[in-house]
Amino acid sequence: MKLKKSFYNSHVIRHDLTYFGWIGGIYIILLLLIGPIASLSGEERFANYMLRLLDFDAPLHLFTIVTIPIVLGLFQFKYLHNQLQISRVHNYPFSRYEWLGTKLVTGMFILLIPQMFFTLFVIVFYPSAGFIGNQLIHTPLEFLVLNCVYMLSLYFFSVLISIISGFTIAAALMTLIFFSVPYGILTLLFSNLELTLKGFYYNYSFMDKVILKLSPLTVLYEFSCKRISNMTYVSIGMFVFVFLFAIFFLYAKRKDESAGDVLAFEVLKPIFTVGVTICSVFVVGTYISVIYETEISLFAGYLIGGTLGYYISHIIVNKKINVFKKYAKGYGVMILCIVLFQGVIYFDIVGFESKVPDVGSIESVIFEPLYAPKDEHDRKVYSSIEDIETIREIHKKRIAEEVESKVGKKFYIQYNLKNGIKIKRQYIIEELRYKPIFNTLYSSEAYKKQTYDIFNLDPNAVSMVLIESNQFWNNREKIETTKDIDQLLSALKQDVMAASAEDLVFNRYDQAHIIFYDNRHNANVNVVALDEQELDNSVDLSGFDEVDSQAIIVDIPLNSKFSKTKSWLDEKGVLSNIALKPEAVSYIVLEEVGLRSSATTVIGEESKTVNVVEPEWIKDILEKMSYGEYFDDKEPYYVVGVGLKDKIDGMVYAYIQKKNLPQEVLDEFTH
Amino acid sequence: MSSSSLNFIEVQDLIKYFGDFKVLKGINLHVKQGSIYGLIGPNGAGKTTLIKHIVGSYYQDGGEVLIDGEPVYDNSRILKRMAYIPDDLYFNTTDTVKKISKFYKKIYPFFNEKRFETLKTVFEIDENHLIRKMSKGMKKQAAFWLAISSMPDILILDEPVDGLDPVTRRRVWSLILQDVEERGTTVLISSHNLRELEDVCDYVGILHNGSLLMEKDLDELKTDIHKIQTSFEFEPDSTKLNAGKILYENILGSVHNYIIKGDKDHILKWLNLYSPRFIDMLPLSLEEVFIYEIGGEGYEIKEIIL
Repeated sequence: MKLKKSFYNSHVIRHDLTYFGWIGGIYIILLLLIGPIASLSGEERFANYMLRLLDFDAPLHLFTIVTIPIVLGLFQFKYLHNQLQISRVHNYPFSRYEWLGTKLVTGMFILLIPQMFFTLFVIVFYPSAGFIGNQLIHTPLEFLVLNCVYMLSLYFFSVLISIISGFTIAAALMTLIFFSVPYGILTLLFSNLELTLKGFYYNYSFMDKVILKLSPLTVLYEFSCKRISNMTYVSIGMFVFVFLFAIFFLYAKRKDESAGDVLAFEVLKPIFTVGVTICSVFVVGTYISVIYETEISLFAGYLIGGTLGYYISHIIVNKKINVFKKYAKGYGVMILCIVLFQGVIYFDIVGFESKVPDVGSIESVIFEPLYAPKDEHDRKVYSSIEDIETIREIHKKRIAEEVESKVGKKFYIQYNLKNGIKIKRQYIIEELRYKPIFNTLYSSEAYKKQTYDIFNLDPNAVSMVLIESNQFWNNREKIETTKDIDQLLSALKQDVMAASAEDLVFNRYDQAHIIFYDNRHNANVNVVALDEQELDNSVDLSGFDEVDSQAIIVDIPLNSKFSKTKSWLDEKGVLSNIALKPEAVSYIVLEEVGLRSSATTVIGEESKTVNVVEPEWIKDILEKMSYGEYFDDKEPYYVVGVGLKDKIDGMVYAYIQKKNLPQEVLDEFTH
Repeated sequence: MSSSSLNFIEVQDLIKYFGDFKVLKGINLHVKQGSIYGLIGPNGAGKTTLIKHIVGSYYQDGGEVLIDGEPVYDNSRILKRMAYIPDDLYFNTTDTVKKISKFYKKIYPFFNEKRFETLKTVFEIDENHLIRKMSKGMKKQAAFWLAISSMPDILILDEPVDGLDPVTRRRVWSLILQDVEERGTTVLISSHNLRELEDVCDYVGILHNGSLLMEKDLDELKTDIHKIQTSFEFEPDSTKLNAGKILYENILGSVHNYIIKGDKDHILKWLNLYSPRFIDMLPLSLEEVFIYEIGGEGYEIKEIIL
């Protein structure tokens, strides 16, 4: 007898549409409601909203593309979770594959037809095709394809979970849980390792760039971005393919008698219990450790989380409460695993926490704040033995800390070893604790050259320099001749190289920003627009990047200690316009605030204040005042309020340490 | 001639586990084409599990389930020729008899619309009425109406007349018998109503604890077990009954009551050894056969004093 194999049956599709077509109906109503709902907030916003109908910004749209496929999958395959239904369905004269294929085709119709209709509706009734093409992030076709493929991936995912689970509520919950895999699980794991393993590098960038795309839900995050990466397309396509394959494979393996069980496959039960236990360990551990902030609380949290997760998962799988005795042995093993895990970390058995490579084995070291730009050419790489030693010294001291730094800056250390291995660490480091060592690092040539991009600038390639004042005036000066640019660069380089770590970091104050406009890659400098802006004094000046978004910008702060640069700018007659000169200051008010912990930036009536009007003292204070970021807790300091001659209202605020104030001024406080 | 050509439904060494529990322990069952087979057994014996294998819902852990020589699991060719009415029926919320009949017309190649129309008068059910709003008996009639209209070669019925009134029961049995007679339909019925089974079945299989205790022609079965009332001149010696087995014995005064399994002639020969004053050999009902057979397997009726 000839076998006629088919993967769908048109009669069943028609029959199925009578049962589940309403979901498609609701979907299309919701899609069409996006516009009218937007119109409630006004005509202008409605126009904007219409523009976004073919985009992923509308909340109702986001809601529908996630919930509709999930709900459809759960409803369509609900029969798998009922003994009576599944017997009836599988007694119909179809092979299981034919039945499954038919259901999936019906599901695709229900999902995709409203989407196509909606896209067509928007295109037809939209003001004009040009309007759509120019202003939408995604073209209608791209939007349609993206939407359809995304919804299919979620639909298949929902069907897959329905097949894996034995009852519908469990399927709905598992769909939500599995959505967070692997992003949620890895976030939990990495957060916990960050808490327990000193020096563990939590690679947020990797999580966002790669892991976020490995879950059908989290990949949605990227849809509202301007460009959808190839990785995202591959990721969604892969979801569709993998889910579809898994659906057909598991449907054939699924036993009808599993209807009513939490999990339809025996092999998944241990995976489920282990997964729930691990998640519970990490969630409860994190929760308790955040409340009590001790290592023992984290351990206690792990034990409590493990106990809850282990038994709750067994209660769910077995669908009965009395599981304690039966699984006591496994519980013991689980507790032992937690103890071992904590033990390995606490006693640093693998030597992770104490590892600092030998100088001889290191080729270079990256040392920078954790959230610094991650482009390879922007990284601060130190290759000299002196600099490597300095960083190793900081690292070793940080490891040896008895009371761990909690409030410092997060630093990233990457040792590039000669054998090709990269050792990555992340620490909170209080720079003030190791100020002498950081002084050495911040004074180093490598640090300066990598922090200030002027050393790579070719004066001939710079078409223009803008100097923008900070908070004193809304002023901007322009330098355009190559000779001037060359001289300015030269002065700046000398100042940077001569500056101490104190000047550049610990006691820094920027008076202006010197922005070099590197025009090698873009000849169309929008200087006219800039000039027009300057003529219109009523508006704030646009940022440089707004003037021309294609520009390559090198932004160098004009540090108040950069004396050569300031002198050069003064000679050119532009300093007074963009920086704080003593001549522009009418007076300075100093307020004694004592230690850093009691700091306030408001000069109050109760605190003791001193008015400084002596030009020499004003000059001195202006040069030594700073942002106060690195003031030592134990050293008294003062709030500096600078009153400007040209401005009656408003002051410029900064901080100054007691040691930097002229003795005569300090004497004023004692009188 | 091979056994499969004789037996339309053939279950060979069927084994099924639910977790660690062995529900079916190597069952061998044979149903001849055009016959009615009664599957009986106590609650929890595994009848429904066995039926779900026969209707292609469950997949066996061991053995084979063949219909017309083909494995039944996931076999659409067999399922097209089969109708199954389970004990608990399930219908979707919007199902009506009419809606389902339209669907069946498309999916069952032998669905007989004329028969469907004719049966309207038999069942007196509004075909446009939502089935979920019907009583249990009405639902059963609806299921039967649809099943019989699909012109099945194999009819599998799990408690088919449970919930039906006596008149409808008669109608249903009559339809089954008519179908068997006219079309040679093969019927397998699982029921606790042994009195009614006795009237329609050709063969009976008794299932207990996942094993088929026995499978026989009903007439043969009934002639194999004897209910005897007698009185002796001399006290009988049961050890001398070589070709039979006493399933039950009760002595009231001089009257001996026996249920004996075995050849009638041999039993009479043994009774005559002890000069019986009289011998009454009475026929056994299927219910009595079932009770005494199952009783021998430790499922006897227990006197319960509350």
